[in-house]
Amino acid sequence: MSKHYVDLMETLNMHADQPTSGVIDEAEYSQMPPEQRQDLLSLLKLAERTREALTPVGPSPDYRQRLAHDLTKMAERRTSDGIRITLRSQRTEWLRGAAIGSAVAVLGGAAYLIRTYGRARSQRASQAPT
Amino acid sequence: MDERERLLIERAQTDPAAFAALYDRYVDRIYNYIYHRTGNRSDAEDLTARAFLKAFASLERYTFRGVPFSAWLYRIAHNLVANWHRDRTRRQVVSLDALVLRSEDEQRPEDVTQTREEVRILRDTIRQLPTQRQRLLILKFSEGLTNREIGQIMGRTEGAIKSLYHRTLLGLRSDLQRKERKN
Repeated sequence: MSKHYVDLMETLNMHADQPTSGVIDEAEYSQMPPEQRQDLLSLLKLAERTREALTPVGPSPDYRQRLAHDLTKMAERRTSDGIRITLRSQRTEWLRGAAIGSAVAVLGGAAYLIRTYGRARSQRASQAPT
Repeated sequence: MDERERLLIERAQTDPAAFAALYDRYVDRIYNYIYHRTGNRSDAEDLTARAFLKAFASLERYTFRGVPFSAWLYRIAHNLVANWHRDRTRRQVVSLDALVLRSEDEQRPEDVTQTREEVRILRDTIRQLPTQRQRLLILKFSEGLTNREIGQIMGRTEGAIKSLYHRTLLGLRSDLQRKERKN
């Protein structure tokens, strides 16, 4: 990269990064060779024209408000959906707990019956005549 | 990313209603970016709405990895504009001339320093630049971002943005000169 290229790039960037612009001090570049100076000034002027052509544009207040309203509605819907999901999941947990509880009760009952049946059978066996 | 912004994002991620604060903070900038990329208000409004709806829908997945939230939003906006350009080219519903005329109708008082025709030609030429160059000019001049911030949005280094800016101005100048010669 030539020194001229780097100098030009740096100067253009420095100029573009100035918060307020519109003024190009041509005397500032008077030490430059005429051809390079002309090249730089033409690019600086083009940068200024571009800045003007791209002046910020804002949305209309009506539009801004309408979109904010739509997003708020959506947020409300999402919040209420979130609550429904929570409720649904709580109900699922409750049902799962009830199912486990029922299974434990059934298994407990079955274990009790097996134990009782086993005892009765061993008692009958011991009382039987030899 | 500043502390206030980080808190706003965290709040909005757990409380959807808090997204309004992020919207207020960025809607003007995103609208401005899209407006200059599309050249007309109706498409800018449509795409801005889509950008925020998309951001709202995917905010839960946003995590800070060195790229500021604003850069994330600009990328969403950029992708929507890119799709819009692609669809528009495919459908050919609106001609470029119509687009230029529409933007001309929306002439703003700031334009008085340049003649209407000069501004029209310059905007038209900017919109015909490669996408990355258009993005750079809009982010630099219309959004007032630094090279570092632009680099974060465009996924390039600060040095690369500096160089791209130089090449963009050279390209824009030669495009304008070519148009002048034609006329």
